This record gives sequence, C-alpha cells and structure tokens, in this order.
Amino acid sequence: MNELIDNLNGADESNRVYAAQDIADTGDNSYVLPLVEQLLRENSLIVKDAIISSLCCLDCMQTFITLYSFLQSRDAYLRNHAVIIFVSQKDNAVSYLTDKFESADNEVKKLILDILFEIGSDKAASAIRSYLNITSDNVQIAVIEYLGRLKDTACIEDMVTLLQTSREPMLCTAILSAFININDKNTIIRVLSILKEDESIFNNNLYLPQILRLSVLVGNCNEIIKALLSVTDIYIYAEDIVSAIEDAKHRFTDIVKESKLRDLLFIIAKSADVDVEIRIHAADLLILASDNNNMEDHYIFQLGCLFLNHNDLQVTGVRLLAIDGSCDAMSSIQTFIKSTRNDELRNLCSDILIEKG
Amino acid sequence: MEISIDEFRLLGEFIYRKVGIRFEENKIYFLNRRVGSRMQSLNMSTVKDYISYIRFLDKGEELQHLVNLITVNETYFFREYEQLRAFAEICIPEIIKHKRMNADYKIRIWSAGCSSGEEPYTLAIILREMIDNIDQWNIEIHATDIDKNILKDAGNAVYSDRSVKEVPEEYFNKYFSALPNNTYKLADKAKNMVTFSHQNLSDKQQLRQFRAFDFIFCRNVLIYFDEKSRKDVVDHFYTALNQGGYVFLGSSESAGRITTAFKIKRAGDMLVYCKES
Repeated sequence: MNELIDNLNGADESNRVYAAQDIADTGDNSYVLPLVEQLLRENSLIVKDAIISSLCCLDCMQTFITLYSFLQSRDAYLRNHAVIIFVSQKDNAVSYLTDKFESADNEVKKLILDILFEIGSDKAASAIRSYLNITSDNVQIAVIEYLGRLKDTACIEDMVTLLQTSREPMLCTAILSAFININDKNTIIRVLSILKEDESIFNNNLYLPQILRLSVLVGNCNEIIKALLSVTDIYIYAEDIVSAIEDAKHRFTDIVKESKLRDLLFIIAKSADVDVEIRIHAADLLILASDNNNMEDHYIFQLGCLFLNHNDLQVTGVRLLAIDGSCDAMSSIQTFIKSTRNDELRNLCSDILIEKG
Repeated sequence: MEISIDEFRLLGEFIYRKVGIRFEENKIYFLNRRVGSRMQSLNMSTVKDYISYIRFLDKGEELQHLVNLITVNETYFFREYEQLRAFAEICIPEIIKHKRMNADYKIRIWSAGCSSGEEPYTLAIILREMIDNIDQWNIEIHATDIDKNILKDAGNAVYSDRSVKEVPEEYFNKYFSALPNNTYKLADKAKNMVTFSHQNLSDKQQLRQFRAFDFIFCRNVLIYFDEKSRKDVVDHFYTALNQGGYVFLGSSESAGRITTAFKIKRAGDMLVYCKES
C-alpha cells in the first residue's frame, strides 16, 4: 500500500496516473481518503481523471462529507465530478443526499436531482417524487422532467393536479412533456380533455409541440391528421411535425400515405430553412409512403435531385433516386458519380446502377 | 433481409453502449444489407433477437464481427485518408519545426494494434515524403499487435491488390514492386523504418514500458475494450506522449469522450488530439 500512496503523491505525472489506475484494481476502500486528498492537491488533468475513475470503483461513503462539499465548490471540475462519483455509489448516495436536500441551496438541489436521476433506482425515483411540490419553480421543473424521463407512474395524480392549478408556462410545458415520456394512455386522454377545456393552453402555440405529440399517442388517425394540418408555422414546428408523424406511424402504419401529410413532408424536406436532419427524416417518411406503382409521385425524384446539390443530403438524395428508379433518376445518378469525390457515395451509386441494370 | 430504421436505431444504441461508437444514421442505408445478411445467416429474424444473442450467448466474436461490419471492412494502406492528411500536412510540420529549434532529430511513432502492417508502413511512406533530408533524422516507428501470427506477415511487407488499392499512384510507383500472383512488396527504404513487436494493450505492465512518443496511432482497436480498460489505455497514451505529441484514434472514436486531458486542435478539416506543451 505504501508504494502506491508514494507514487500517487510523487512528482512524476505518469506514476501518479498509474498509481490511481492500480488503486482501482485493488478494490481496497482504504485508498479512498488518500485519493481524495490527492485530488484536491492535483494540478494535472490526466491524473485527476484517473483519480475520479478510481474513486468510482471504490466505496466512498467515508468521504461523502467531503464529496458533498464539492457540490458547493466554485470549481466546476470538482462539482461535475462529485456528481459522477456520487452516481457510482448508487443507493448509498441516495440515503445521504436525501438527508441533505432540504438544507441545500437551489443549485445544489438541482445537482442532487441530477445524481438521483442518473442512479435511477426505485429508491432514487421515490426520493425525486417526494420533491414534486417544492416551492422553487426551477427545482420543481427539474423534478418533473426527471420523473417523466424515469417514466414514473406513481406521480401522475400529483402532476395532473399541478397542471390544473398552475399557470406557469415552463411548468405546464414540463408537465406535458413528462406525460409524453410516461406514455400512460388513460392519463393522456384525461389531460387532453382538461386542456381542451382551457383555450388559453390548448390554442397557445407555446404548448403546440406537446399537444401534438400527446394527440399522436392517443388520437385516432383523423384527429392526428387534423392536428398536424392545423399547424400554421410549418418551418418553426418542422421538427415537431416530422416527429409527430414518425410517432403516429407506429400506431397507424399507412398515415404517411395521406396525400396532405405527404404534401406537408415534401414542403419540409425541400425547405432550406429547415435543419438538414429534419429534412432527411421527412424524406425518409416520404420514402415509406412512396408507392412504386404510382407514376404520378414526383416528390421522390424532385427531392432526390434537390438533395444531390447539398453535401449533407447527398446520401439521401441517392437513395431517393434509387427508389424512384426512373431513367431520369438513373441518369442523374450517373451524372453525380462523375462529379463527386466521395468514394463511399461513388461505390453506392455504382452498386445501384448495376442493380438497376 | 432489410432492417427498418427503427430497428437499426435500436442496434445503434446497443453498439454505442457496448463499444462507444456512434455511427451516423446516413450510413444506415450503406450497412442495411450487410447486417441484414449477417442476421439472416444466423437465423435471426429481428434485431431484438440479434441483440439478445450478442448479449447473452456470444463470447465476443459476434460483437467483433458486427463492429467490423459497421466500422471498417479491412485494413489497407492510407486508410482514413483525411486523418492521415492532417497528420502529414499539419502535425508533422509542427513537430519537425519544434524539434529543429531544439536540435532534436529524433521522431518516435507508435502504431498500436498494427495488424498486418499497412498502417505503420503508411506512416513510414508519409514521413519519407514530408520530411526534407530525412537521413538527418532518427525515425522509429514501433508497431505492436496482440496477434503474433499477423505480426509475421507484417514483417514480410508483401501485400495483395486490396491492401494497396488506395495508395496514391505516385507513391505506389515509388514504394512498391510487383511480385507474382498480384502481390506487391514494399521497398526496403520504408520497410526498414518499422519495428514490429508483440503487445497486449490490456497488459498494463507491458503497456507502461512504451514511452516518449511524438505520435500514437490506435485506430479502431479500442472499440473492443470495456469502458474502464479503454480509459486506462488512453490515459497511458497521454503519459506516453511527449509534450506537443498527438494521438490518433479511429475517425468514429473520440479521445475527448474518454478523457478531457487532451487538447483538441483543428488540423485542416479534422479535429486532432494533442498533449499540450
């Protein structure tokens, strides 16, 4: 043990790294205090990282007081890595931190919530749930978000009550997002009927993404299409529209074939004002909707040609033209092969041309 | 057999958790057939079955096979050209300039996980092309691998068509001579710059003997390691580098995700990882 401690405290940076690594391999918790002491003195980032990694392999209960003080430190490295170490300690950390929660300031409360969420055990979820009615808005929103991400159903009734009594927009948005994550159908139906009774929420664009997604989860096909087509700011809500259609197709596989939704997807896919990833996603959905026997479907070919002119969209462009399969599409691919310097794309195009004969 | 995008995303998440590789969704189309064929050959009809197989029944071979499908097909000269270009055009000149100022004419490079030798020999060619008066320099390229059999092949420096397909024509004419059966032998002037040895990156004591490098290449090797082992190896790479030295992992791997100790620098269109001076 002495040799490892000597190396951990020594002048040679490499030896300090190796000592921290070797300590982790021992699994001996008596090294925890020397590791934490060295962490406080250490200037080298690589050594600090190695120490953190080592602490995560050991039982650090004996040093929780010190680690808790790191959560309050002005040093962001110590704060962030105290979170990592506490997470590694699992339910031991839950017990300790829940005792500290009430007396902590809001910033530390949020860090404690981060830790509890990452631990994610039943005990941690129960602790988070107990803070649902905390008075600080920001902390409460974090609690709601985490309960949603944990898909915690035990909090549903309290969250419905909160939704009915609160008018704070960020809070309402967080609650609706949590219900989406929890995805309990009966709750969603109930929540949507509550919202429909309150025009200040239901017709408020601020909540449109959440209302859209909630509708997709429980509405019938016509209701979903109606909701999607009612969106006026298509480019602002492009991502929400495309995500909603993606979710809807899990319940209604043919929804992507609805002509008005295909028109909507086409508008989004061809727009230069929309993020590339959303455009690709819209194009993917159009591909699903494409009917190879429908010779009047110009969208696939048009998008394919358009996408070839954009570096980030070329792969999808080639796919679209391959699916179109027309002589014009193959001709576009042949022209593209000559102009592109991307080996992978050239190989892909060659494969397609050979396959299509 | 074609896999749906949803299934491929599921598989992508599994691979990311297992080996830390995030592959781009626009590559789904490239890979769909390959992975689908593999699943079909194993009589797996769903991605969930395939993942269960890898998780519970496989001893590592299938995961390795899958990762090979989605990352690289094979090793060959000048693989990941853009990264090598950053090495050649930005990193080497910087190191050379610094060393000349200090009258230090030694360059040490480590190719960790060198397989059949294409990578370290590629580095030798690049150094010969980028350094003026190369005879003035003492250049050591240490190439290591866990597979002793493949190291023997590497030492012979004889390669097939597939290995040399990406060698720029000018370099091919300069450094390779044709042999029978469509094979090619690397010229001694590049071959003799590389020393091969057996090494297991999981063996810490063995690993720690390797120190004082200006460049370390370890591309598409650490993907097979668990998180802790990967971190231990990359931490060692940091300590094994000289000040100002560079580490190169595979283009789909991120050193920054493993440790924050390296400084990220821009070299042309690439991001590279440096041990700050």
